[in-house]
Amino acid sequence: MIGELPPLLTAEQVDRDFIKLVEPDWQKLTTCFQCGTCSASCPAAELMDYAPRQLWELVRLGLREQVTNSRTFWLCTQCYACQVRCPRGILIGETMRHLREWAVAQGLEIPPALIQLRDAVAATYNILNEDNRSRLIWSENLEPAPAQLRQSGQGQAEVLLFTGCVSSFYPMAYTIPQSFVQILEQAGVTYTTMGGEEWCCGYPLYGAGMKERVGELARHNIEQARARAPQSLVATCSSCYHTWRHLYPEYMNGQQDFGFQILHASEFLARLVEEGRIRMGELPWVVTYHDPCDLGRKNGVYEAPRAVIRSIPGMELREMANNRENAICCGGGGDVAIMEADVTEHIAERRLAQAVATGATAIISSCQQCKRTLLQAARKTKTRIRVLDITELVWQAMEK
Amino acid sequence: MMDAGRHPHITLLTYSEVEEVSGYVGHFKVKVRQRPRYVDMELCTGCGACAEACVFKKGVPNEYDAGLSRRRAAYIPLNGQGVPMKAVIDDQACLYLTRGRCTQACLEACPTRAINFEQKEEIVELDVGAIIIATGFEMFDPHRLPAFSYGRSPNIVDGLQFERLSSATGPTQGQILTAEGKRPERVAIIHCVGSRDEHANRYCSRVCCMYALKHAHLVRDKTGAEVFEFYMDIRAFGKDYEEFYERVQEEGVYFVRGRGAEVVVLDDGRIQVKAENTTLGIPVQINVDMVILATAMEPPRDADRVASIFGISRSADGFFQEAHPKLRPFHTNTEGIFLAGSCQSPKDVPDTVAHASAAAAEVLSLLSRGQVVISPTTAVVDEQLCSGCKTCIPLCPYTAISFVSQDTTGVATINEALCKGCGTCVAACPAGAITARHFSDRQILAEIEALLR
Repeated sequence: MIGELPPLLTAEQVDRDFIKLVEPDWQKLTTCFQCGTCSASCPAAELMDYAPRQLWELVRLGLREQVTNSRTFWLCTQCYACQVRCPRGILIGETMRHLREWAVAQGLEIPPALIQLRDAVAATYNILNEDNRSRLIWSENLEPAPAQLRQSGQGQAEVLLFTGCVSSFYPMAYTIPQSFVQILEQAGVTYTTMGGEEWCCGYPLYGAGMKERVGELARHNIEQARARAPQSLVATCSSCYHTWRHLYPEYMNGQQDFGFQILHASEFLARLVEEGRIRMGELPWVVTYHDPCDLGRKNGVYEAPRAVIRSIPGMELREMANNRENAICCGGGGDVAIMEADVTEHIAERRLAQAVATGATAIISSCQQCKRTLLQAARKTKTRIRVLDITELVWQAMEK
Repeated sequence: MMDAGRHPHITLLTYSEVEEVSGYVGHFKVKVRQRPRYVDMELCTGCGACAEACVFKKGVPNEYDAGLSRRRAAYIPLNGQGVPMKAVIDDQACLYLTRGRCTQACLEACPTRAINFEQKEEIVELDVGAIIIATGFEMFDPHRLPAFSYGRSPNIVDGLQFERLSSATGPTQGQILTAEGKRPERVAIIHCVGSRDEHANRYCSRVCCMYALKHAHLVRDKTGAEVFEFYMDIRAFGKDYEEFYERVQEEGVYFVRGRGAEVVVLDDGRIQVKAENTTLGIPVQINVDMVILATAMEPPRDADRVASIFGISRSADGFFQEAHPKLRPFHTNTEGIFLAGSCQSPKDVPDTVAHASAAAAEVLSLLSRGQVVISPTTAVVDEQLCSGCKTCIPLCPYTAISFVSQDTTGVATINEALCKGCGTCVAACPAGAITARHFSDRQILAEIEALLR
């Protein structure tokens, strides 16, 4: 089998320079003491040929062939469960991504789905190869019609909604921006969108090891958002939010700040609740909350969505065995869903089982990708549980 | 400790804290704040009648049992075994002292009438020749690492809590029981909790491997439960330690070479430990009744305050800094102030005894000589040149410089007993009034010239 371990390891096989090619912070990676925390925390470890811990040893020894042929770094969902626990403080999720970057730069054979992704974004500025002018397709036939949406780009709004590719083009996720704009209308919040000028945030390419392609998208989005001068840019997608907060500052052309706040929809909703701008009606459900990796572990937003859920009279929130920093990934991150759908499914089913064990009748999340993967898992396993985004839950519970 | 309490030449100031230290080796002035214990030490016989009579039945968590039991407001510290064995009334818990409303049953119950609610705080001033700091350590709080789910089940305990569970004077009289009162059938022990971890402490806490092995032995011995021990490396460096490790292996403890990555409290209340068996490269998932976290030793939370009171420094790990890691491990950079035990670094019992004995011996030899030898390389102020600007005073790391008023102005003066000749003040003096003896500019330039020749 390709990538199998050599029967005997000799000094001649060791290549100490290899690690320097794949990991910029290679000195940190050499401090790995092989404790196995990463492997034990990884939701995809059992599906990998080499568990993450073993991969570090291969990289450290410079066993190039074994690393090159390993699927491990392509199966990483970028969930950071390992990274927040690594006792050596190694940025493991980053190292996984650096391996993808290295594979792309070397011209190695990369999963075809990533090539399609790259070409789609290059041609249409969205991950689905759709006509980008149809970004607001989700808003058609909306009742009541969102009046402000029709006058996009006029005047300064309190909120600039950054919808994200998934919600813009996957019909399964349309209800997320639909709910959000209806909440805004009801609460009297002025808002706008970038319409067809919203481009893919770049995170899927970043995760695919194609960071060099993010700059063009970032600069365009920053320029477009600045031109609209909102008070806040609100993303309903956790990945777009993470990208705006942590990747975009690199592309600001030396400017200090955006001129507006970056918020996730759950944070904005928590603010509306706190300020009494929306009122919740009774909704006597038992729910559980799934922390999206891009919102939780990567941004530390754990309490805002929970505060929103708790503000709904009659609602009971039950935590899953793994929550907050310890939450299990839905399986949909790191482009794995488009490369290895069965891996995503496998992980999503495990998360679903935890949700079911709480006795909740609905899983609430704050990420369109989490919603998609968990909903698909529920359908596949014929599990009777609702899967809702926080925006959908709020719109349902709100007094209208 | 008992011996120290009985010794005719040792005075114990318990329930006290050092507030201020001034002076120098041989002539320290120490201000001690003695908190009121509301009990007359002369009259109290340590019978415990007040503790039994105390009406605050609910009580507060007993610190000596690491919170596993509760005590009342009147109590004898260390579950009745404190030194001195005298009662104390906790003024944070006592209903009379906090709310002014209580039947004060303790007053009546005391056979010697030792309780006195009028007692006030006292400041004691001492003249001492030398000081030994032995403020010890605190246990790492595992709440800080959410992966271990500490606090989510009473059957996830830290190292100190397990010590109390297995102690004859502890809340279970030494029986190892779960919170439900059952004998555990399976126990997991997780090494390196709060140590060797960039998210907590980078250092190796040194004692945990051996105490965790001891815990494994106790569980096997007392309950016969299966023990799974999750470790990265076993550091059995002391005399007979490796042999003890071997013995615990023979006792049937299952050693898993992989760090405990996650502890999950399952819906049925059982606890699941996840790790990787790194020798085989396969995931491990084990359901247990009890988890013992081998928590690290940490510097006490107020170490910073203590360091500033005594004018000593702390190393990067937060423990007090010794004067030299190899040759002066129990000295500080301040002459006459010494360190003993785990306030300097995590230590087990034999190391603590050796360290403390060495500090005591050093103090005895220092005091019996009656004089100190100081280095000739000290700084000196030329009073004619000193402008009295006081620049040097806060810069001195040994607080050796003071300001002496003279007529209309004043000058800096250096205490040679404290000065270490570091040269900080020499370099800082804007008037060039301070010289380091044997390191004057002329001498240094002459050396450079000789080198260049």
